[in-house]
Amino acid sequence: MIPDYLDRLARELDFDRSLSRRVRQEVEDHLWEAVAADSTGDMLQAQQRAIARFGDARVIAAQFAVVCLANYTRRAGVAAVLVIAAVFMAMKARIAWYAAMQWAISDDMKAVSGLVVQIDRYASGCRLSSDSAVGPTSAAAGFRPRSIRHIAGSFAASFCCVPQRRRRLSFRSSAMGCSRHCSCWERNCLRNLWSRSSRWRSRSHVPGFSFFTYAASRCGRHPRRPC
Amino acid sequence: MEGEMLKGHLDMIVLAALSAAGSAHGYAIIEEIKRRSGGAFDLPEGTIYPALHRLEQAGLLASRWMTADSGRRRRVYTLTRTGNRALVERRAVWKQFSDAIGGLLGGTRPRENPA
Repeated sequence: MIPDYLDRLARELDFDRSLSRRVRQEVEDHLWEAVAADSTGDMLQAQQRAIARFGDARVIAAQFAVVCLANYTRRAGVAAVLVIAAVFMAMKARIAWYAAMQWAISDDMKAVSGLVVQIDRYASGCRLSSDSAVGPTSAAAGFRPRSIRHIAGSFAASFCCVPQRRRRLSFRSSAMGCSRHCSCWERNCLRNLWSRSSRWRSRSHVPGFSFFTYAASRCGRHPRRPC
Repeated sequence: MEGEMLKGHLDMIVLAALSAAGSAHGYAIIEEIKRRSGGAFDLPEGTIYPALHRLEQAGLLASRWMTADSGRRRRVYTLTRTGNRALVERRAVWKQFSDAIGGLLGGTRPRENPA
């Protein structure tokens, strides 16, 4: 009886394998100690009582999910900040490198580059705004519960009912948002450089880089199978 | 006592029980809570583990695996220094709250807070 209960609890906690293993061991020790402390002598009834006193596996898993969700959110936030910082640093490093290579803006390109930079700035701003709105919405859509009844309990309970593929979708949505942002910044940066560069050699490489980053982001956008 | 009433204070209850018991595993903490509350706190025993996990994540508790006499592995929890400080703060807040409610229900004025 206790092993069945432990299996059920481990299944409910399957969203975090290491947590599931840890909790299973802890609860196993708890339940057998409760059985040992039971003075009735009837093993089966003692197990039943220990499980009843312990509570419903689903409810306990839901309480764990709240803690885990908070941790995941914090980690995701830190990861996002680090990624953005890394992209920013890479951009700065590349611009510094281009400056070090002593690129100069030719006079005939100055007027055109100014216009292109303005257009590009507004276009990039629009894309970043729309992606910022679409990314979290898509991620939130991934957390759709299997049954409406689970919403009534708590958000944690609904999180427990999320199938793995929905979590994968939400992860892909977040990755999509990040890659989109990276692509947008990358293209913006490269286009600015292109508009300011005068040397044919460097300019010829810019569309290639831009296309590569765009293609990479497009690959991240499309899940392999529909959820 | 009703479970819903206890849930809001579960962290403080666990911290207080661990402070009294020193190092203890989940079952021992529950027994300590029951003993010290005179059996008044009757939560589902499983509720304690998410609370322990949450408090550990917050740095208020530390834990380690030990092998019991039975040969089973068990996780033993200890209050950290931060946990001790948190407990002192929560005790002070609870005292204020308790005095205020006591004053309301008993019709007496709560003692003035010197701070």
